Amino acid sequence: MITLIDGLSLGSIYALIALGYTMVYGIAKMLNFAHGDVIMVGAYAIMVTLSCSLSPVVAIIVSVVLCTLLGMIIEKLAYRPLRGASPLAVLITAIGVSYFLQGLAQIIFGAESKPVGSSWKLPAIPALNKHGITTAALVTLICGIIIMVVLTLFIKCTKTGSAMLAVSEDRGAATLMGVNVNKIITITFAIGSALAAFAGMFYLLQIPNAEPMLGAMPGITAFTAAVIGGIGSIPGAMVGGILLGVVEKFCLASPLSSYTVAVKFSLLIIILLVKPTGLLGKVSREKV
Amino acid sequence: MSKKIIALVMAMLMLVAVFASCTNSSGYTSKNTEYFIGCTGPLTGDASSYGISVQNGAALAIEEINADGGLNGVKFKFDIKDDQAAADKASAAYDQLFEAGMQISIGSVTSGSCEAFAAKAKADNLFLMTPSASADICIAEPNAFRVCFGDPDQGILAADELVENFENIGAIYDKSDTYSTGIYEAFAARMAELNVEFKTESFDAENKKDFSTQVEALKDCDVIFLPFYYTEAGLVAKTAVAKGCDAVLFGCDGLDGVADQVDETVTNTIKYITPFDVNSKEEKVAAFVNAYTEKYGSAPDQFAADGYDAVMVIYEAMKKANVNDVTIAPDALCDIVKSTILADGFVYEGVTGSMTWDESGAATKTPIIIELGK
Repeated sequence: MITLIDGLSLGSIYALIALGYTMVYGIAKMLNFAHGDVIMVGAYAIMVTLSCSLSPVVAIIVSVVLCTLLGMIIEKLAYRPLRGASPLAVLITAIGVSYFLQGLAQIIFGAESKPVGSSWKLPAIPALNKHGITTAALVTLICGIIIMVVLTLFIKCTKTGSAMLAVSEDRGAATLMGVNVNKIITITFAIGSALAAFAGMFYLLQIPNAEPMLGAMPGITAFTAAVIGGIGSIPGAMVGGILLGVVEKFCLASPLSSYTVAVKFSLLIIILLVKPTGLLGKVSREKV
Repeated sequence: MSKKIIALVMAMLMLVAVFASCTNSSGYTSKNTEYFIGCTGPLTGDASSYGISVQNGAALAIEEINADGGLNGVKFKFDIKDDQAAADKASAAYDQLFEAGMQISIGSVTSGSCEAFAAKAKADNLFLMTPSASADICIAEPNAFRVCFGDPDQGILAADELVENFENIGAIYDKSDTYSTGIYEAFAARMAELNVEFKTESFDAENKKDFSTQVEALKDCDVIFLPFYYTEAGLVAKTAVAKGCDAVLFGCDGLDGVADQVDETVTNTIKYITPFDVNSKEEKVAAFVNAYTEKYGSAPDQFAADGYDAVMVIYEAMKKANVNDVTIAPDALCDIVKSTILADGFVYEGVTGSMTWDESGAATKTPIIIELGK
């Protein structure tokens, strides 16, 4: 039971990150491998704000704003000049951006893991904590679900949301219908990066240390989650993320714990063998 | 009694004289005007903090010895070469030092390097007293000694201590790390000897951030043994708080530094075994801490204390044996220092405790158990 709750809360972190991957893929048709490192930047933003003895709420706002801007800047400087270039070139650029952010963090903060600070904590709920349910896990789970619901509503019910859907369906047609594709892609990056900032915040609630490589493993796992769920599909990213989180936690609690990483990625292979487009992916027929 | 001492000193002097006569012809040390103690350690790279600490500690010891007039009017010189914690660099650095006239050494700072250093030193019969290389292989040769605890020693000490004071014992260790597994295996073996059951959880290099699963499994223990480094121990402590687990957290010398990783939210008692307590009230330790802080601007860590002690042991041994030939060859000096250190009644009172040595090269000393914040 406790493993399940821990797993669901880890899963909602993965789901938030996976949403960023899948939205950017669905709309810009590119894999933004720098996404994991935006989480790391968000985590450091929280650490720095707190060290200026500001309140955690201010820290969260600073982190979300900074990450949103960072996502838009990355898109503008690194990816926009390559629009229309081969997907491989864009992919390599994304990896380059990822290394750049990691290197920058190492230069500024050093390579070692640093504790966030004592003001960064949630109130204890003794009745639950006694049974091993951490407040952080509960908050992550609840907030994660709220964020996902809001995002789904945003895409379904607003004009920008419909425009995003249109661009992902057919970029050419959307342009003809008067949708400003560049603007939509920028908005997508902004939302994706804001989600990454939230993911970074939840991550720090559970593991209160910031380090330059913090985003790497969650990033890759969330990417796997997005692919398992069917890349480009928003509900798919949520399902994939939560599935991987639960699997990881149960694996760690079982005698298989040394093989956790192997199990996570084998799951990807198995699911892709059975359903090549992922759990909730759309089947697109190749025209011959 | 006094006759015996005189006889011993005479014997030593004769020994020195005999060896001195043959060293004059031997090359590298013949031009020495100071006793030359060599060392290699990581001064750059990932492990550089260890090498720099040892360098500072050793340099402070040399400064104190020379300020005191050296040995029979002859001063000491210390040189540490950067080996970046790599065995091949340590080997190359050994040759450089040896050709520059090194007569005795404190080996290498890290285990891998020290193994290579010891292999070279064996061929030349050069004495080495490593401050900090804790793997047993480093002192396998008869000319190699160490100041620090060996990895297995700490596991045995911890098992004895925990069994004596606690009922319900749990342990977490890092499967992918030699330091952690070395201690853990000795701990588990000792627990089996004592016939005490305990619960074990583990992690590896891929999963060393999230400890909720391990803490969850050991939540009901009175004490959790943590034989690994301070970063992970800090995370375990915070997870324990979040999970409402109030077990005592007990670690080894790897926990030296955990104070910076935890804050006032951590309510669990944290204890660890260490040979060196920077807050000790003992006169000798306090004097060392003050001198070090004054010279380098920060408090010494365990490696600095080990480096200081390693140099001081060599000095004390040479003083006791009354070495008075500045050009003495490494081979001759090694035999003198070794027999002095192994002789009955040689006890060195250092900043990392009072220690004696046996043929194995391992130091016997009493560990201190520090409670954080106390």
